[in-house]
Amino acid sequence: MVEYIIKTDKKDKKTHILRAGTPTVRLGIVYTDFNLSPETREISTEEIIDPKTNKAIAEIRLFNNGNVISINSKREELSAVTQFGEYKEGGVIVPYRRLTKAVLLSRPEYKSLEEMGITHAYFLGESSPISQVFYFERKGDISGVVYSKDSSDNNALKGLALVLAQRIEDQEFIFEFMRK
Amino acid sequence: MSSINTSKLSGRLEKLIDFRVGEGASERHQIILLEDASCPATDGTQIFLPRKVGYFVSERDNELSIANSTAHEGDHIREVETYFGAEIEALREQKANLVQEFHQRNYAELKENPALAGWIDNIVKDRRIDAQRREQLPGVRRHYEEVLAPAAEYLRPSTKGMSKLDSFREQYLQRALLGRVVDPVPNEHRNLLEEVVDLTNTADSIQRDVEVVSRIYQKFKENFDITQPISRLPSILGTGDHSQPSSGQPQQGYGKEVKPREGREKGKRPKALENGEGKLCIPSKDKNDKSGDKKEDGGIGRDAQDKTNLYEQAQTEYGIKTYIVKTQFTDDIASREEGFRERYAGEIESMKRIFRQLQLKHYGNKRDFQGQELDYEDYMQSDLEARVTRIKGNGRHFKADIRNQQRPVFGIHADVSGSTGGRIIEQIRAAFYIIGNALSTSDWNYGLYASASNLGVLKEPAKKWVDDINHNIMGLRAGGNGIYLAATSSVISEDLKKTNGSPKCLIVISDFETTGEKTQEKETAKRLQDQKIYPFYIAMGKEHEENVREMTREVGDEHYSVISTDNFHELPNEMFRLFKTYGIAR
Repeated sequence: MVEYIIKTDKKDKKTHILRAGTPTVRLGIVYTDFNLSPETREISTEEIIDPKTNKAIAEIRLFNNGNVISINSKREELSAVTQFGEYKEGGVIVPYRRLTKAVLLSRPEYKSLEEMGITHAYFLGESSPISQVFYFERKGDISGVVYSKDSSDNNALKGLALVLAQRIEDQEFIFEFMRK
Repeated sequence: MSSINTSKLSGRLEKLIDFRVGEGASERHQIILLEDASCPATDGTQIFLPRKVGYFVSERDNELSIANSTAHEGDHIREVETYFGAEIEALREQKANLVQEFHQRNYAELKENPALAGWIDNIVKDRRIDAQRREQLPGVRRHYEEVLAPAAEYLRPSTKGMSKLDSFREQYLQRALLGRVVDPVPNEHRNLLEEVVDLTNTADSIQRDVEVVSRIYQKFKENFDITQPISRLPSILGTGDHSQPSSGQPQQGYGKEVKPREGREKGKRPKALENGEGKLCIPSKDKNDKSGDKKEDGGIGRDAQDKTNLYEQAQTEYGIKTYIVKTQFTDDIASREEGFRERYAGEIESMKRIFRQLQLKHYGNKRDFQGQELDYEDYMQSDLEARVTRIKGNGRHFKADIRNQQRPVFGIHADVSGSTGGRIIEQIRAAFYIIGNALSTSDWNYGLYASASNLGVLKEPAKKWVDDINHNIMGLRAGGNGIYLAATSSVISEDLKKTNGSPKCLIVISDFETTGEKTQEKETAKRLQDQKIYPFYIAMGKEHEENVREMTREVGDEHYSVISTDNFHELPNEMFRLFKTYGIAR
């Protein structure tokens, strides 16, 4: 099981994608914290930059093609969350269960997550290389922990869609109002 | 019409408040939901929104409209915070109404008509914040130009019949907020209007408002008798309530509502507006009413109230006395019911089975759909029960229903006038008994009605089936004058319209020897169809075919069937066929 961490940084207006471990490796960086504001330079697409090469490794598209968010790499859709709440990998719908904070905290093994700011989690089935995604929010910053069944770093990018979906969806009206 | 529940958008609206007022603002400035179609407003701290919004045909337009109103009120709050500065926390601790506080501090000397001063202040502020928002956000401008402005203009009231002051106020409001005036401006007021609008446009910040409002007020004072009370003008869509100042305090006035321009400029209704009457905001009586005991979204209590009113008012509104049939428990009825139960139990069970299958096959109960949210508590409970009982649960624990779910609504109305005596009334009882009991297995809404001179409601459509209704059916007797088809159909169609579900269908069993005014009776089917209620007439007896054909001439032959005298026993099956055909397949 490989663990990836996706976290936004409100102060620097960045989003970091990390592979947890010793040492923790920074896999990608996005130059926005996905909080839309009048200063937001581009509201429809954002690139995920590899910090080593400084080149784009994938692209994040918001409110496009019936998706709230989609992650695209090499002209292919890696993952997406649709406006109907479906999660797709490679264009195929993947079943998931979304557990709310109350439900998670009712189980002893997740009680400790409360102080970390858990808001919800996704449990995915057999058809996804991701097993679970936990979503935390604290002081305007979000962080998501993506549990991957294998060591492909692409899974972190796939999980990114689920981690960011709620934040993006909540800003639907702002997006609509800002759109030219 | 596709009205939306504001509560469902709360997360997105809160983000919008953060966006307009500042980070974390949604925690300080709560959204308070008031009654349906109330006007968006603010007291400088909270944002008051209607519980339901349904101005427009499109759901998206309704969503964007309420989002725009939220942003508008958020902009008011931002300005109020700028004005009061550091003092604001202390004022909020005192639970002061900040808009009212602003008025009291600045317009107290405008003694002749403080309500007018507050009203002008609201327009000055609205003009500025809306113009700024449209400039900053292209999507807001687009929505305003394509949807809001045409609808708002269409819904403005006529100035005919208004006092000179009210008429000028309305035209000032139109010119300042919509950029144009609908009715011609009288020559004597043309220059004045330009002057006050120019003044309004100079108010580029809240600090300038006091000066600008005072000057406009002065212009009003010079040209009108402003000591007279001012009437309520409908609000302009998206800009909040102009019938009273934003202070939330009732304005001195006639209490007279100004109606929208009924019937004017026919054919110019904007496409975005729904087909019904233009809906204007209902000014809230008390925006500070924070009572949380209101029923959610027209709950059961409210529905019941609506229904009672409908039946009570049917006599005056539609000319037919309507009453809910009181259940009688006599030995005669009980023994008749027992006989029916023995005779039709098999038929009812077989119909029930088919209804269950149809419901599952076509519309479904809750199903586990990929990507839907799990009702975890339900799942855990079922899992626990399965472990204890060793019986596997059905595994459907997802909250969301399938998206194309439809719940048909039926009204079944039988003519029980004197001419239906003998075998006909017996078969009507049988049909009501069989269909009523069989349909109870579904979660569809259906109402049972019988009429002669008056209309009796045996089962209200939204009420669940209870065995007592069998007694109501058994108590049906033939007697009285003929059927008043137009009047009874109007009451039933209103009843069905107030019942959740679609498609809607009204089945009428009669000989169609109607008693009411002939032209009206003949137009009934067409009127029902126009109201999106599918009419279906069943004539009892071949000799009445000509009547029923005449009654359905405008809607088509497929809207009636005839049961010959020899086949009266087929009435329940004929109704069952209609359910399958028009309730399920359509």
